Amino acid sequence: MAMRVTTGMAMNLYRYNLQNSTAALANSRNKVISQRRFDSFAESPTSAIQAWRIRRAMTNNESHQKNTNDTYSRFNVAWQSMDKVTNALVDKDGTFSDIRAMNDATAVAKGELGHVMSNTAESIIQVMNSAKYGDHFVFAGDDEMNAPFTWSADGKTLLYQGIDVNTAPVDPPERTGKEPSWVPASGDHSLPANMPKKGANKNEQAWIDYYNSDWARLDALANEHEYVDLGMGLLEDGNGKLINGTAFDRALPGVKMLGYGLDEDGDPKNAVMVLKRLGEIFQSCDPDTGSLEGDNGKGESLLSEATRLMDKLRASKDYCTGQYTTIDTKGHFLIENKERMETNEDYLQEERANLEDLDPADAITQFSWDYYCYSAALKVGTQLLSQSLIDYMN
Amino acid sequence: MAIMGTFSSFTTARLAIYASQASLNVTGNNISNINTAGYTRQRMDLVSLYSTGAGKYKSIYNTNVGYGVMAKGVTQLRDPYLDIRYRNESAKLGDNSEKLDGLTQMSRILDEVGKGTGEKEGFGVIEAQFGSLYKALQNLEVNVGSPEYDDLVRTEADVLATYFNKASQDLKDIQDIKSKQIYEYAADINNLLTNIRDLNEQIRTQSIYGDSALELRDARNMSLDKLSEYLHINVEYSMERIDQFSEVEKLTVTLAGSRGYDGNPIKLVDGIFGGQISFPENMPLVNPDYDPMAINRAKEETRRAAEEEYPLSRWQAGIDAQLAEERKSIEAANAADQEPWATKIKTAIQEALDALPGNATDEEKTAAEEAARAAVEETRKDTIEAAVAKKEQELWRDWKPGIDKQMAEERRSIEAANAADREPWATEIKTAVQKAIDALPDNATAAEKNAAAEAAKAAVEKTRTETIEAAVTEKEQELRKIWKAGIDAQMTEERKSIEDANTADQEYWVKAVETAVQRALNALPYNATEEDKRAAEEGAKAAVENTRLKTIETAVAEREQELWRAARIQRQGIVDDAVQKTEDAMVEAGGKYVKTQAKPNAKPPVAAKYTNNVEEAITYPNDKFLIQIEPLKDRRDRVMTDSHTVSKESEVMELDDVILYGKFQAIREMLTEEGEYASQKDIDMDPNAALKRGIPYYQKALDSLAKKVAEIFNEANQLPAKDVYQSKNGVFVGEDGAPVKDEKGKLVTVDRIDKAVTEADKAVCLEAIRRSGCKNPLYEFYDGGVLFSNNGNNNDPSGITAANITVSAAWANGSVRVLNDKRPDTYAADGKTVIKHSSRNDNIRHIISMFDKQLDYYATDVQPDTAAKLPVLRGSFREVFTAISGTLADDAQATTGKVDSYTITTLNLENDRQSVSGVDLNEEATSMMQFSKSYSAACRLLTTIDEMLDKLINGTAL
Repeated sequence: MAMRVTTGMAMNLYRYNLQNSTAALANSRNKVISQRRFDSFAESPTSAIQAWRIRRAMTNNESHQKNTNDTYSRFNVAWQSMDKVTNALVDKDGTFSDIRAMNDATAVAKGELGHVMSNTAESIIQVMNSAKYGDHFVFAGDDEMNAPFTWSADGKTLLYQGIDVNTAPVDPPERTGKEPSWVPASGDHSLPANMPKKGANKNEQAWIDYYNSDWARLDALANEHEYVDLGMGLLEDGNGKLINGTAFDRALPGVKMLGYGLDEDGDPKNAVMVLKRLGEIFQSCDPDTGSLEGDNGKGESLLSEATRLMDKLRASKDYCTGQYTTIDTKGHFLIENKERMETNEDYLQEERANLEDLDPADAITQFSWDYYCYSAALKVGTQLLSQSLIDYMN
Repeated sequence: MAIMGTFSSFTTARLAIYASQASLNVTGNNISNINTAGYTRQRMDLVSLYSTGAGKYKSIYNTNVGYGVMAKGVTQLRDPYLDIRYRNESAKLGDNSEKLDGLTQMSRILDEVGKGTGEKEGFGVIEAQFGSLYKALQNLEVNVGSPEYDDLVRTEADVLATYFNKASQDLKDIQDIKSKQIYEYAADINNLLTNIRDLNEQIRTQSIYGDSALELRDARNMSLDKLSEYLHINVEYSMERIDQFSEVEKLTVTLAGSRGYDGNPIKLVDGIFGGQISFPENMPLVNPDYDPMAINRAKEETRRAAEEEYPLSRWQAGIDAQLAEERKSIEAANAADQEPWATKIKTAIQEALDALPGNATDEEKTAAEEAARAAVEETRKDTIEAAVAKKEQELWRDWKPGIDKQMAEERRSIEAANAADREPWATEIKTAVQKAIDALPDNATAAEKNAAAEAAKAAVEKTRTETIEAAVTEKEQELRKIWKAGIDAQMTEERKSIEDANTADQEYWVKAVETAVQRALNALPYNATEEDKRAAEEGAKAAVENTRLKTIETAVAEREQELWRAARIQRQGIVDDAVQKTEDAMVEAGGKYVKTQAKPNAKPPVAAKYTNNVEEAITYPNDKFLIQIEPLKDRRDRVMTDSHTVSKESEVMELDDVILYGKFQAIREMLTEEGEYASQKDIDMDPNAALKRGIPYYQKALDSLAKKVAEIFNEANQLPAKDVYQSKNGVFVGEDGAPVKDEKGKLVTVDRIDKAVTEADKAVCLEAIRRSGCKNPLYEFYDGGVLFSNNGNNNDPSGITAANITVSAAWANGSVRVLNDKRPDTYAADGKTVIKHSSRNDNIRHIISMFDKQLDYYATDVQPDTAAKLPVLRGSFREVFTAISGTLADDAQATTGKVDSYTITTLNLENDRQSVSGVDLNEEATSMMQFSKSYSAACRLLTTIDEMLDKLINGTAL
């Protein structure tokens, strides 16, 4: 015998299916409105997890772009400052002036020239100290909240973070492979952490003495790093130490930009100090003849020193230009990084859209279909309680 | 033609009319109830009436005709198998729907897909806030040293903490609502159980009166359907014997798949007895070693041992011996040449007569004869009375175990009804105590009051005991009457048989032989030879002898059976006693509850011990939603004696996670299940505990995340105080060299911080140092400290949860900031000038790197007693948050699928049931027409018969 289909059964089924139709309609309506493939995690957990991953990457990307822009702006400031510095050294005051000083030399003119040179030296320091991004001194290494360069009270010594830039280099003890464990690796200029106050042996004491010298400190300051996360995969090793190449070094220690220490002749390597010394020499020429034959106080004629320093000035100029180029190169890297980030952003947006966004045509088609089904269900409802045999009974 | 009374045809027509009308009424009832919920369609069962009794003038021709139709009764059309399947599915649907409801509510909090507005559209809320904090840190990284960027980080951290607090609070709100709901469910279930029990009773009563109680059954089925949504139940129908001749249907509802202490399914309703579920407000602290199943096992073991020790064969010898005796007496009673009383009388008379002198007169002879007869008669009566008395004693002895058992039960139930903690005694005791205390003068000491109270209590207790004893005695007398009536009835029978065996005039077998011989001789033809006669006589004698021997054997066999029955009862008694003793001993030895904690300082010291007295047990609040089923009771509160446990009353039974299933269990699991955070104890009780994730799981997962964030930030942002601040001889000092003291004036020392007992104390110390300590010159830049604390008013980082995580007071007021770097500044070569590193950002970068670092989240971080050893979650902060909501989503997705599937199955099964039990208008209309026609036809039949008889009576004449 066939299954009995009672009115109650028909009503049950109808109610269930009408609810389904209503739910489907509401669902597709929501989709049309929200334009999203899924409106809840549970609707599509796999897609949702992927979408979150992409959105996280987007947040990080936005941050990295902002940091890249920021860093680029800093480098721009640094670049412009260094541009001024190199220009000062090359064109106007430096090369031009010293040549003039050598050949066309009245005492007054030499004095004047010396004066200009001293001023230029000071103005370079001013340029370096005034290179600021916000309230940060760009050329201050990792002490950006304080001006990097200061003149000593007598105005003769240039100090970088309190240390004479003309500090004579000290050679570190020779590496024999038996250095104390706290000594940083070769090539690492930073000051050691956990250095004992007294050495256990001669060798260790030699290292302690080295790191207690001004030179070692100046060298450390000149080689400071300041890493920022620009989306290069920031990563620390198990000891919490940054893994090289995963962050960008934005430090521009002024002392490194201009040079530091003394060379083998005992002359400053710092361009400003060379310039300043030259200025002093010219200013101390014979007031009558303008001659530079006088003694420089070290058993050498002023002329001889000036001639040597002019070479050194050129070398310094080249050094500064080299630093300037480094800034430029890094600037380029930042631009590229920014472009890479932007491309990445586009890619992420596209991925996100693929995962989350709905094709409006599909959505509307689905909505229309669900609406059609819903209407049909309603129509069926009106005829559900159809006539029965009772209606035909007399 | 069949032999039928002339007017019987009218009866046929009348029955037909009645049948059609009754059927039409049923159709009407069906149509009326087409929309009644739970209504099962009914049918009038019609049977053809046919008499098989042979008529007085039995016809040799087979032309019997039936007597018409009979409306036998109304039955329901219902398929019990569909009911079972429907109820199974209903439990599954209930379970999953309830679970889905919980998951959906939690999804509104934790599922952030598509959430967020403005710039953060689609980035979620907590997820986006993690992003904002990340961005703020990145900003700080490139603008290190600028306080406004630190402020920004703090603001974002504050918002993140607030979001955590809100999510946690929202989860708690759901938990609060659900924990109210579970009590409503329990009330619903209890109503349904009471309802089913009461309907059982009504249906039972009606069944005894022969009514099928269809509407009550419908109502009961509705209640069962509703109950099946809450609990996975099994419904069984069995027959319950009411008396020797009749039995009624009994409905039993058990928890499907459950096993009670006795190994049988746990009963919710058993006929007229029903249980109630309850949440004990305070749970007794259970003896961890107490194992009800162990007691059960021991009981079974004892039973087996006792049964082995007392095999029925032990009774063999005794029974054989007794039977030998019995056989003798039976044989004697049935001896072929027995001297029955008649012979005895005869012999006695003969002896009396012989004793008379030869010249004795007739009167004397008569007198002697009478005297002899009377003497024997008296002996006979005495013998009978003695036998009857013996029998009665035997009966009382046989009945004694039953009587004792029943009395023990009665006593138990009377004692339970008069328990001291129940009304009216509770009030009685209270009132008496109050009165006694009131009667004391106002200046009475506590000891006096105590004594008075104790005395009053003792007095009431005495009355109570007396009341119980009186009730027991009364009950015993009442029962004794009933038992006596039973014994009396049996004794009537016994007496008859004894009397029969001792009738004065009977010589049963002798007579039987005589009669048989006589009958055999009579049956012989008159010309039978002597030989024939002898042969007939021998044959008759042999036949009677045969019967006699058979009679003896039957009697002996009957007696043997009786003896074995008695032996079995005796053996059962021995075994039951042994089992009871084992249980008592075990319960006594390993009590269920811990009575008290050890009090070593008391005199004498009190050790912790276990007791069975629940009232004395230490209790703890029932926050785990422990549920129990109360003993099954009938409408008059009488506790059911469970047939499974023979004499034991139905007991309180805990319904644990393994036993329960359905909507009710689903809400409990939503409220209690901790998933991977489950303790070993939880897993011991329910092996699946680690896989079930309710609200507490998500709370703990969020707590775990909040705690980890706080830990990472706090750890990254601090340096040991002894490195940063100056100390002298282990005591921190200020600028002026004075020792640093906390708010209470206590010295702040290096040791105190290193060995701080609590994080709170450490926080107090650090705050004091921050306020008045003096930094080492190389750490002048240091502004580190606790960033997140458990309360906005302090800097205590201990016990941080999602609910309480907040930006620490010190960070909020700016005395602590995000620490840029942990390395000290350096001295210049002069050893005095400090070279500063104001824009080092290594620590900020470290915090940023921790943001995306894969970290392990162990369950033990937030739940020390958890069993899980592997990390519960792994990933970066944001990944873990996604994983938490992802777990929820996976569960919700799976549950939605199940709900869909069970909904459609349930709907299909409901339709299948409807297909059998539902009312269909077309069908009813057809029936209506059918019965209307048959009604008309029956009326027509009546008219035709009338006309026929009219012709016969009035028209047929001479």
